[in-house]
Amino acid sequence: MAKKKNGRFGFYVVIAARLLLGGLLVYAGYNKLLDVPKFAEDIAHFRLLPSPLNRALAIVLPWNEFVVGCLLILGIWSRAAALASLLFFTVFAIAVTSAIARNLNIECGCLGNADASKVGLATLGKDAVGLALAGFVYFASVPAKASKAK
Amino acid sequence: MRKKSKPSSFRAELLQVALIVGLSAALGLAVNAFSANPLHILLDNIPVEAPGPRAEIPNAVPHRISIAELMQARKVTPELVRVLDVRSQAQYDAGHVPDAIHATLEAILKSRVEIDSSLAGATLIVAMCDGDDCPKAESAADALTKLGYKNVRVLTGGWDGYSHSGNPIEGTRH
Repeated sequence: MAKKKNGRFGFYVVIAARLLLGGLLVYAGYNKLLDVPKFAEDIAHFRLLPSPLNRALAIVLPWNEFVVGCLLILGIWSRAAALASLLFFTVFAIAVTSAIARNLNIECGCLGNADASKVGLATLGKDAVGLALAGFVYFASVPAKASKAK
Repeated sequence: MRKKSKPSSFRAELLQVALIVGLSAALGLAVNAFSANPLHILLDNIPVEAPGPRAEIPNAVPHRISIAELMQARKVTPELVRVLDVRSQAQYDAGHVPDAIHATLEAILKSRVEIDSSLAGATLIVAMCDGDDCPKAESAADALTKLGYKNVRVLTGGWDGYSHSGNPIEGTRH
């Protein structure tokens, strides 16, 4: 159905963007799951939440990312999954911006153990790319009702 | 008709988002609860008046020790005090507490023999990592206590606190 709205080329671009976003989230979630205590430390270094919430988030967020990524790859509830990833990337961008504003020299923890880069403008740039990708997948995908109506 | 269907479609998507986030969060909590070494959400930093280095703490909740208390214990009975640094190898190499033993949490959980030889004879074991809020050090202290070690503490302030305390540091960047 997306084919009719966007044309053949647009249809494949949306699928490619969806797979890329899904793959990115699965990769990020999986790497965080490999070392949850380390991810809890990374969150704690942002100094935004009390300790129990840091730990709860470290347990929950990797699974959120992993499941949302899988849904995007499989094409199940794609718009909702893209909306959820828009939410994630917005929250990440706020946390990163706040860390930059407070001049915190901390690891991002964005991709778990696979990424030891420090928080900075580059991190914000990556968030912006994720945000743009999620926004594109959400707005370029045809809502379920509309596609059924067609 | 189209315009009217949009808000309800968005509401349905929001409901789907809530379901996705809620169910995956429940999955994460369930997996953590049933894992061999779960992360304790409510096990927070419990400030306790630290007794002397030879005193024993009977239960599995890792207690704290301040940097001043650690330095005092190392001054009095250096051979009985072990500092266990659970940060990454690169962080340890860059700078660490003199004579601290490096062991990752995974190594502590997997290779007990190696840990036993490093900690033999210690009456005070102090686990530390990056900063004050450090689940890895607490998990390591918890694991060591469960393995039967007595008087296992977590260093208040961790490496951040120690490196700014003016005490001696060993490592490539110091």
